[in-house]
Amino acid sequence: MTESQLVSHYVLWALVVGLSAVVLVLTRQVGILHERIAPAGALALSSGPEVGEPAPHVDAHALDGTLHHFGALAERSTSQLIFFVSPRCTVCRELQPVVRSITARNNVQLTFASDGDELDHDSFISTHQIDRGDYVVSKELGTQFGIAKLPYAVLIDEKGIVRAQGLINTREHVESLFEAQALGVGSVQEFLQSKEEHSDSKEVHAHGLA
Amino acid sequence: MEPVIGWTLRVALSLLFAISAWEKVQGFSKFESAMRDYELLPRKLVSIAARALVILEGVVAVALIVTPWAGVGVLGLLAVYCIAIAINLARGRTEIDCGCGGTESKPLSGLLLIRNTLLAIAGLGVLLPISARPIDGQDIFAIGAAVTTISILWSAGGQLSKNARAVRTMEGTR
Repeated sequence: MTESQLVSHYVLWALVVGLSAVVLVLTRQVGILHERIAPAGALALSSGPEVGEPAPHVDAHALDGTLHHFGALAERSTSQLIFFVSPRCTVCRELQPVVRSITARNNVQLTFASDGDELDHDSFISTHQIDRGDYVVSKELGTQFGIAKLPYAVLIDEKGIVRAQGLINTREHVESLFEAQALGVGSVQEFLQSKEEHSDSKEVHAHGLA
Repeated sequence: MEPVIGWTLRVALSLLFAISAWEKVQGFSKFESAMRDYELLPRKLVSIAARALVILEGVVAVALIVTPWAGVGVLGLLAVYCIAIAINLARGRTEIDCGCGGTESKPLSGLLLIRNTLLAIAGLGVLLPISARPIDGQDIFAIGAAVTTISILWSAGGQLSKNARAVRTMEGTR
């Protein structure tokens, strides 16, 4: 072998090893990205009914006087999302158009639930053009569902069974509730846990789609 | 067979089996339970068979450096693994851990069969007689560089298959 061939031989090998190292690092980074973008979802904090349990039976008046029945005894044609808000909570205000559009798209009846001072609610409702008949003020509702933090949402199906619930701070969180209902998983914690248990197994989404 | 290629195959396979055996020793209970999940052996035999496989892998790893006949061991082990995987794929039990070693579980798939077939071809290559060309320093360099590249690309391949599973999981939840 001539000297120039020899040099090229060594240089090429160095480049091949270097390139494959770059490929390895890149695949690792793709792997890390996948871990980072694991599904974000609503955190279930409630001390109230758990997912799969019937919702507690509560009767409460909306601001316009309509009586709303919540819970397993109330027959309805569509699912219902109870969106626990407070007029003073900034995230609730920011999130309410998102919640409205998502519930409308999923054909789910949206009910706002709050408690506290009447005057606050009036200004909240008029600013955001919420139907007075969809806005329930009831301390009992929040207590029965064990709401500790706002904004909190509880998704109840036609039969009055709690299908998903959680603290919601972003659009992804709201969507995760419907995702959870569709997948038959209670919360994002439960989903991630089941994912860990079957770690990397194809079964996860096979179950998920079922 | 050209000595650089022959020796590259032998050293690379030896490394692979050595690492595989080491990982199985490290996570022996995991390997045992993976073997139990294959449901091919009576429960009482699983423990003995698992030990035997780990020892065989170690023996093959050392033998590859000593004699080209170690290729027979490579083919034998891979044949056992391929049959075990194929039977469980046929049973549709893709969710069980392949027991390939390592801390993470890896489900069974057709890709494992392809991978093992490629390894078996390398094992066949080991059996071919190496031509009697004297080996110089440059050959040794080439063998070392090739083994290094193969090892890096092997890990990259493992990472890629892991990524592919993550992508499928994501698509499944969409």
